[in-house]
Amino acid sequence: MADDPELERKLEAMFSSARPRHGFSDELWRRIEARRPWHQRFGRRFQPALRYAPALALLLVVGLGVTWLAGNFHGAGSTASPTSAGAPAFGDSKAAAPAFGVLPSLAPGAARSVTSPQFPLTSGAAGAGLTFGGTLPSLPSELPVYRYDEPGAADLVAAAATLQGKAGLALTVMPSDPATGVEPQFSTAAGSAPDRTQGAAATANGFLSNHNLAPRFAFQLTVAPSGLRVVYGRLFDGPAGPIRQVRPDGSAAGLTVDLVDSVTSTASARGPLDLPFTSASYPLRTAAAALTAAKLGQASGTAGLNRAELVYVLVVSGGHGYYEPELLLTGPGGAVLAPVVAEQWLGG
Amino acid sequence: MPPRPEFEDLYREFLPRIYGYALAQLRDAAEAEDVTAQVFVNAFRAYDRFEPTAATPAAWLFRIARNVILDLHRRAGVRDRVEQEVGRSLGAGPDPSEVAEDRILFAELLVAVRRLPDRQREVVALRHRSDLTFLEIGDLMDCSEDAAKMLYHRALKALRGELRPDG
Repeated sequence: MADDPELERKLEAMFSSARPRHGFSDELWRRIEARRPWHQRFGRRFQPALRYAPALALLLVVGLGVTWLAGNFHGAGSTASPTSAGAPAFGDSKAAAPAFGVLPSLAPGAARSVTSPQFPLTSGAAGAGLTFGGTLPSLPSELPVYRYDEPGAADLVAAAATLQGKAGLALTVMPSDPATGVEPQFSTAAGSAPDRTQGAAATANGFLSNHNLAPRFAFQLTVAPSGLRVVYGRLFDGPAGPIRQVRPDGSAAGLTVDLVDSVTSTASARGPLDLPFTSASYPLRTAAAALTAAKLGQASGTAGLNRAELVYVLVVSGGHGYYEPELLLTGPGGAVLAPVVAEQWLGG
Repeated sequence: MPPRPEFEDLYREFLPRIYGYALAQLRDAAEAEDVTAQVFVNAFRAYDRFEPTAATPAAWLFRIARNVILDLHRRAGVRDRVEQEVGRSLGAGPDPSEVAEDRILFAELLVAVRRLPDRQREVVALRHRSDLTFLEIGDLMDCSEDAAKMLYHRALKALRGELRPDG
């Protein structure tokens, strides 16, 4: 077969000259590096020092052990640091606070009304005229805010391919939705679910397990009254126990399994993509100050709102998603989300 | 057993090659960058499982790249994309904004490569970007070494006809 040397030289030159835009290579490398566990990011630059890593690691473990022992013998009232069992199951590096600067607000202004079937709102402006008559929780002096970087189109495509390969189900992935406070999600087509005679929770667990979609975050499992929806509500670590994540509408956020077909035993799932988080500690205002910021009064006896719960809510802004602590106040009068991050660190 | 190279070394060496391979098969530079990014993200995630005895780094990476592009084509609808692409490229000529000024000489050649049938286009891109032998190219494309050589020969013939339409 007689080929064309001249054409082949031109092809070689053409392909050799093809380069991505200036800066692309370093940008992409930084994105890849960000996916490494923090202790692998130093790489070859610090290899000589890494000879001492085992000894340093041992010292660190001993130091942590001493600190833990000291903390647990201080008596009642000590605030335990977040446990690994409840920590977000994502790679995270704790930045100096408040590393994210001024946080985006869930909704500019005072109270953010919560509208959902669970929390029917009374008429009138959010929070207006409502009083809180329950017991306010004692808030910690600070809490972490967690942040993810919004994945690009290529990342979403890659995530879909990876998940689809693992799950064996057709699925779609979607970017964050700022309007509904939803992080990047996957959503599967219907797949076979185990026999439902064991109940909704066991069926949903079996479906997720069979398709390698079990959540990697700490969760609280709830079954809807219909028995056809199981929610794995995400939990964040808190000093006094796990803290639920809720949507701006007050509903539990996390992974959802819908048992869609009671005859053929199929199910589908929708849940957050497994994104790496970074975190930064933010000072908090008191619960009473949060009520004031939400233009809510306090009163004993009959009041529109009588229950307060510390929650995390996702705020999507500027190419990031921020899980920010809020107070969810509920009662016969409706529901309100009140900001707890210190005023100077929350955008208006 | 050959040692597994540092991933960053692999990345620096093969990024322009993977990009060039993708550029020849996709609509534009932006899409080629997206695919290149996805290839290296996928490769990074799978690198712990890469066995240098089972495949060379080039063969391993270009297999990942091939799969990413195949997935993209499947999602986009290959037939529609090719028709749109051919329709666009039958216009006045290459888009100068896609290549640097000093490389506009190759723009016509790139357009001609993109107009080749899928497998001819792919074998040309692999031949000139991957340093794989025709045996390895055939393995990647699920054909024999001779079939891969034949595809390349036909691609060159088609390119000659494209670049010199009077014969």
